[in-house]
This record gives sequence, structure tokens and C-alpha cells, in this order.
Amino acid sequence: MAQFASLFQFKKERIQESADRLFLGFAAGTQAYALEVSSVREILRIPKITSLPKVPSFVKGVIDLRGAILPVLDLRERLGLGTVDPKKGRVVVMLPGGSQALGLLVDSATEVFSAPPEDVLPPPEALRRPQLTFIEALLRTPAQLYLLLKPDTLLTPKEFEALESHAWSGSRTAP
Amino acid sequence: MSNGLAGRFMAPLRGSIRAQILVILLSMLFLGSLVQGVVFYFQARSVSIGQMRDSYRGLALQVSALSAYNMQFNKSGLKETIQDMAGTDSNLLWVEFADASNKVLQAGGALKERPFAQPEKVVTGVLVSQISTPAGAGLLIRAPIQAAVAATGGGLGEMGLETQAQAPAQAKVIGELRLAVSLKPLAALLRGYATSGSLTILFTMIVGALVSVAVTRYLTKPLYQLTQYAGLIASGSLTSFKGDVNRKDELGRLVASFQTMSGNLAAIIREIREAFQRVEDGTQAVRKNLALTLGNSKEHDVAAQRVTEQVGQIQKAVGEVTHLMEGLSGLAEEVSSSVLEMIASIEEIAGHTDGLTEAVNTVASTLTQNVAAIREIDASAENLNRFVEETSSSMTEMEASIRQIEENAVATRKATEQVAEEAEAGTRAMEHAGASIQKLQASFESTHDVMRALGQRSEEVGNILSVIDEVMEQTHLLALNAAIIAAQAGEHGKSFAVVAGEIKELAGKTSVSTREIAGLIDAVQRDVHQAVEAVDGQRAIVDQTVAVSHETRQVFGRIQGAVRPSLRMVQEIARNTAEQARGAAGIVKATQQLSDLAHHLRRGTSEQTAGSEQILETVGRMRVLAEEVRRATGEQGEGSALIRQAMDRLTGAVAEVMGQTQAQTKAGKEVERTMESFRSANRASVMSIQEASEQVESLAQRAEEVGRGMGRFRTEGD
Repeated sequence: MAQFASLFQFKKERIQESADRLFLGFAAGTQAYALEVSSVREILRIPKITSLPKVPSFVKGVIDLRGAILPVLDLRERLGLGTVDPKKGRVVVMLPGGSQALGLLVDSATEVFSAPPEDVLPPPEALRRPQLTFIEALLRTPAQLYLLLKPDTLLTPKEFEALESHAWSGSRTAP
Repeated sequence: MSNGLAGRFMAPLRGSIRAQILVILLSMLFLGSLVQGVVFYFQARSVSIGQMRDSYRGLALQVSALSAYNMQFNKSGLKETIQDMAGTDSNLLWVEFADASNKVLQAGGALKERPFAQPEKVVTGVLVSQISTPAGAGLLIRAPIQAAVAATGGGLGEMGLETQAQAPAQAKVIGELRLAVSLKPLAALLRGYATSGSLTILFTMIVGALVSVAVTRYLTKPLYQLTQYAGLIASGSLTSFKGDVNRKDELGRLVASFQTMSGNLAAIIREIREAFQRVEDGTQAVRKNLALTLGNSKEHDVAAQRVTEQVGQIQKAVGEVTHLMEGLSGLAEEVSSSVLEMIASIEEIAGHTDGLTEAVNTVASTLTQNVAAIREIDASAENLNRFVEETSSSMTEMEASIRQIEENAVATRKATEQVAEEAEAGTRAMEHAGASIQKLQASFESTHDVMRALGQRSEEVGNILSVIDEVMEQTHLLALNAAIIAAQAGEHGKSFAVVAGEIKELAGKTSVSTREIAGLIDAVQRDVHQAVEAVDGQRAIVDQTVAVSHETRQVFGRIQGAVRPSLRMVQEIARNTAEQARGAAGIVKATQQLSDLAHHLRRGTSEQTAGSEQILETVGRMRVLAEEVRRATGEQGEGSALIRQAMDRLTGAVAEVMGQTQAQTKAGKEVERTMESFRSANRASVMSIQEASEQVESLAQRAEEVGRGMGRFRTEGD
């Protein structure tokens, strides 16, 4: 964990040095979302998600990623925007997370792009409400506007602890 | 005794049960009230006297107990006691104290003198008695005054009373207290009682009387109604009875049953009345009938009388006639013997002549009729002849037309046979065509299969395309991952970032070429699809063609099927027509024969006519001859005219009738004889007529046969 934390710190410095920040863009439904590349571990095409009993509906289940059992969240359900089309969206964005790794089920990953600081806009007044704490900022690109997500808010520590009692709890820290 | 009294008392009330009941109730009420009042009075009196006695007895005891001390030691205190008592109670008429030796110590009261006699000795217990005083009825109460003995140690006053109550046996009588009390206030009380009691009884009696009247009325109301109604019924009025039927008691039931009874009675009376009406009607009818019958029988009587009279007259007339006839017959018998012979001879001749003439006339008329009949036969034979000739000619014409029909039938048969053959040829041709079309269909089927296979292959190519799509997506993800890793590696990852860029580029190129391939495959798929569709369309056309050829073949089959029976029918028609032609020829021949026969018949009838005319001529001559004979007879008869005249006058209807009958009989015989000769002459002509009739009969038969044949012919020709 400490290793990850230092790495995270290091990367942040790097990015600040180069001024421009790198982002991963992806789509869920009609909306385009973005995460900072530094908070993304990798992108996966998921063969199969194992469902779990007695979990919130936004927890789709768990996957086996090279021996590690990780929870997968449905991004759209998490944001209260319906559910990801099971035929189209089989892409999972893996997040290293603050204290734990998890997968984010989205429709498709579109691109990796860089944006200057002036294009990272604070969310408008109307979006600063408690139920929209997932949004860090708005990302402006020539093509479209991205919602920049706050990775730490996608699964709160409390929720994580609620999930911890499930099957993967033994092997979550393996990698 | 009481019965008699009650009877006497009730005598004026016997007419009304209501009054009787009322009197009984009122008297009971009165007696009861009276008894009650008396009992009440005496009870009240006795109770009041008892109370008064008890209270004064108690007073006497009390005063005697209190006065024991005074009696012994303070005699003047007794006077004070008397004054106290008289002062407080005005009812106390007299109070006196006597000592043990019955000597009056003190006395006083409202009266001046003692209102009772001096008692002989002092009492030892309380004694109460009634007395009469100058102030009215009163009570005398005597109570002993007792002193306590030494045992009490000279206990005094109230103690003495106590001692007396506790141990009376030890007391010693030392004196007596005598009280005379007036009963006047009691009388006033009783007067008050009597007044209120009388008022109460009076009130009770008034209420009781009212209730009695009401009860009586209630009880006797239906009785009154019934009485009234019974009176009505008795007087003969049977109107419907409206009584109080709501009552459930015996009277109510009586009223109800009375109602029913009156209804029944009315119905019975109505029925009886109707029955009587009927009886009356019937009687009237019978009377009328009897009157009619009487009239009729009178008429009959009159008629019978008239008939009797007439019969009498007839009898009288007959008697007269008989009388005359008797005279006449005597005269006639005398004359007839002389005249009869001559008349007989003359009349014989006249009868001969008359009968002859008659017979001749009869024969002549018969012959005339015969000739007329023969002429008619001749005319009908001629008609027949003509008709037969006409028939013969039309038969000939018909034969010709039948022959033409035969020819036409033969022609039709040939044409039909040709049609059948051609239909068969068409069927054969269609079968060939069907075979080749089926081959065509089979080849199309194989083409279609090939095209379908091609379509499947192109779809498989589409599957490959999806695999390529997947590869492209994976390459894209790989490029993204590479970019992420490169970014996370920072400075060290810069060279890797180049590789990532290249991968991304490669992915882009792959995407482009994949899209191109997809476009091509899509085009191929579309073409193949179109080709398959085209082949499907052609196949539909071929299928249609096959169906059409099949249908055509079926149509040809149907034509053949239809032609076969029509051919058979045409052949039959031809055969029938030939038979008809043969039959027609036979009929023509028969008609010819018939014509010949009619000719013969006509000739025969002509000959007969000629013979009959000759006979007529002969008969005419005979008639002339008979006429001559008659004239001669007439001349002869003139000679005996005078005698006959006398005869005529003498003989009546009887003789003439006799004679005429005889003559007639004789003349009839003569006529028979002459008729015999005529009949023999006529027989020949009859025979010939019979022959002619036979011939006509056979002719008619033939004609009928012909008619039948013609009828048959006509139905066959149809």
C-alpha cells in the first residue's frame, strides 16, 4: 500500500510538471465520462461476472483477475442512470483505488487524451449537491464535454467494509 | 219466595235483557256498597272505642300508681291530682279516689254529680265498663291503688310503680281510682268517618253504575243487532247483515254464524226464487204449447168434420150414382144384346184399320230414323276417311323429318367422336409438356439450393467479420492500456509510449481495412441475397407454370370425361331415331290400311241408304192402302150411326171402358202381328246396321290404336 501511495504521489508530481494532464475517456449510455489515467490500472474485456447474493444492485458481482477476486460496479447504476447494456458493455476499467482495487463496468473505453489545466472546469453550482459528489470536474475537449469522476467516491469505505465479509475478502490484497 | 219476589220485581223489565242485566249489576253494587259501609262503620267504631279505652286505662294505671303516696300520706294531694286531670282533659267527666274501705276520699270533674252508682267494694284489678251519663255515652274505668309492702322498705312514687310492675303479688290494695270518661269525641270522629265513607261509597256507586251501563251495552250490543236483524228476517227482508264480527267471544261467533246463516239463507232463497222462475217459465211454455195444440186439434176437428161431411156428400152422390147406374145398367143390358153384335163387327174393322195405320206410321218413322242414322254414319265415315288421309300425309312428312334427324344425329356423332379424339390428343400433349416443365422445376430447385448455400457462405464470411471486429476492439484496448502504462511510467515510459502510439495506429489501420472488408462482404451478401430472391421468384413462376399445365391436363381430362357420355348419348339418339323412322313407316302403312277400310265402309253405307229408301217407298204405298180401307170402314159405320147414337146415350162410362179395353187388347194383338211382318222385313236392315256398327266399332278401335301410337310417337319425338 505504501508503495502505491508513493507511486501515486510521484505521478502527480510528474503530471504537474508537464502541466497537461492525461485522461482516459469512456462511455456509459449517452454520456461520456473520464478518469485521470493515474487512477486507472488497466482496461479489460470481461468474460464473465460472478453475481453475489445480498449486495446493492450497483454491485454486479466479482471477477477473477489473474488470481485476484475483485468487485465490479455498474457505473450507470452507481450514478442512478439505469444499467449498462449487457450485450454492448463488457469493458471494465480497473481502478487501483485508495485502499482497494475494484472494477467499473462501462459501455466502451474511447481514448486516452491530454488536456491543459484551463480545460478542467469546476462543476457548476447546481451540481455541487451531496448526491453528485462523484463528479470532480468538467473536462472540455473539442469533441465533447466529459464528466471527470472522483474515483474514491465510487465505493465508500463503509460500503467496502460491507462487501468485505463476502467471498473475495481473503484475496483482495493479493496483487 | 225470593224467586217470586225477584220475578215480581223484574216483571216490568222482562222486555229488555239490557235493563235486566243493568238492574242486577246495580243492585249488586248497591248491596255490596251498603254492606261494606255498615261493616266499615262498625269496625271503625269498635276500633275507636278500643283505642279510647286502652288510652284511658293506661292513664288510670299511671294516676293510680302516682297516687299511692298521696293516698297514704298526703290526702290533700289527691285533690290537686283531680284538679290537674280535669283541667287538662275535658273528657274526664268524673274522677274520684276511694280508700280500701270503699269510702270516697276525693271526687270531682266536669259534672256536678257522680254519673255512676256507688260500687259495692274496691276492685283489685282494672275494670272497664260502659255507662250512660247525663253528657251521653261514657266509660267507667276503675283501677286499684296499690302500696308496696315492707320488702321494698317503703319505696315510694315512681319506685312504687316499679315495684308494682316487678312484683304485683306482693302489692296491697289501699284504695281505688274511678274515672268516668265521655265518648262524645268518639261520636264526632265516627260522624266524620261516616261522612267520608258515604261519599266514597256514593262515588263508587256512580262509577260502578257507569261501568255497569257500559258493560251492559257492550255485552248486549250484538244481541240487539241480532234481535233487530232477526226481526228484519222475520219480516222477510234478507239484506246483508253488518254485525260486530271483530269480537272473539261467544257473541262474536254467534254474530259471525248469524251472518253466515243469513248469507246462506239469502242464497237458498235466491236459488228457490230462480227455481220458481224456471218452473214458471216452463209452465208458461207448456201452456202456450197446449194452447197451440188445442187450436190445432180444433182445426183438425173442423177439417175432419168437413171431410166427414164431404164423405157423406160423396157417399150420397155415390148412392145416387149407384142408383142411376143400376137403372142404366138395366137399360143397357136390354139394348146391348141387340146392338152389340153389329158394333162389334164395325169396330173390329175400324180397329184393324186404325192399328194398321198406326203400325205403318210407326214403321215409317222408324225407317226414317234409320235412314237418318245411316246417313250420319256415312258422313262420319267420310270424315274418318278424310282424317285418315290427312294423317297419312302428315305421317309421310314426319317420316321425312325423322330421317333428316337421323342424318343429323349421325353427323353429330361423328363430330363428337372427333372432339373426343382431339381431347385425347391434347391430354397426351399436355402430359409431355408437364414432364418437361417438371424437369425445368427440378433444375430450378438445384439452382435455388446452390444460391442458398452461397448465401450461407456469405453469412459465414460475415461471422469472420465479427471476429475481425473483435480483434480490432482488442487492439484498441491494447493501445489504450499501452498509453495508460506509458503515462504511468512517466519519463521511463516515453519509448513505450511510442510503441503504444504505433499499436494505436495499427489498430486504426486495422479498423479501416476491416470496415472496407465489411463493406465488400456486405455487398457480396446483398448480391447473393438478390440472386436468391430472383431464383425464388423464377421458381414461383415455374411452380405456377406447373400448376397451370396440371390444370390444363385436368381440363382436358374433364373434356374427355364430358365428351364420353355425350358421345354415348349421341349414339343412342341416332339409334333411337332410326327406330323411330322404322316405326313411322309402319304407322304410315297402318294409316293406308285404315284409309282403305274407310272407303269400303262408305261404299257399304251408300248401298244401305239406297235399300232403306226403297223400303220407305213401299211403306208409303201401304199407308195409302190403309187410308182407303179406313174410308170404306167409315162408310160402313155411317149405317149403324143411329143405333150407335142411342147406344152412346144409354151406355155410360163403364161399358165404353170395357169395350174400349177389349178393343184395345185386340188391336194391340193385331198390331203385334203386323209388327212381326214388319220386323221380319226390317231384320235385314237391322243386320246390315249391326254390321255397319261393328265396322264402325273396329274403326274406332283402330282409330284409338292410331291415337295411342301417335301419342307414343309424340313422346318419343320430344
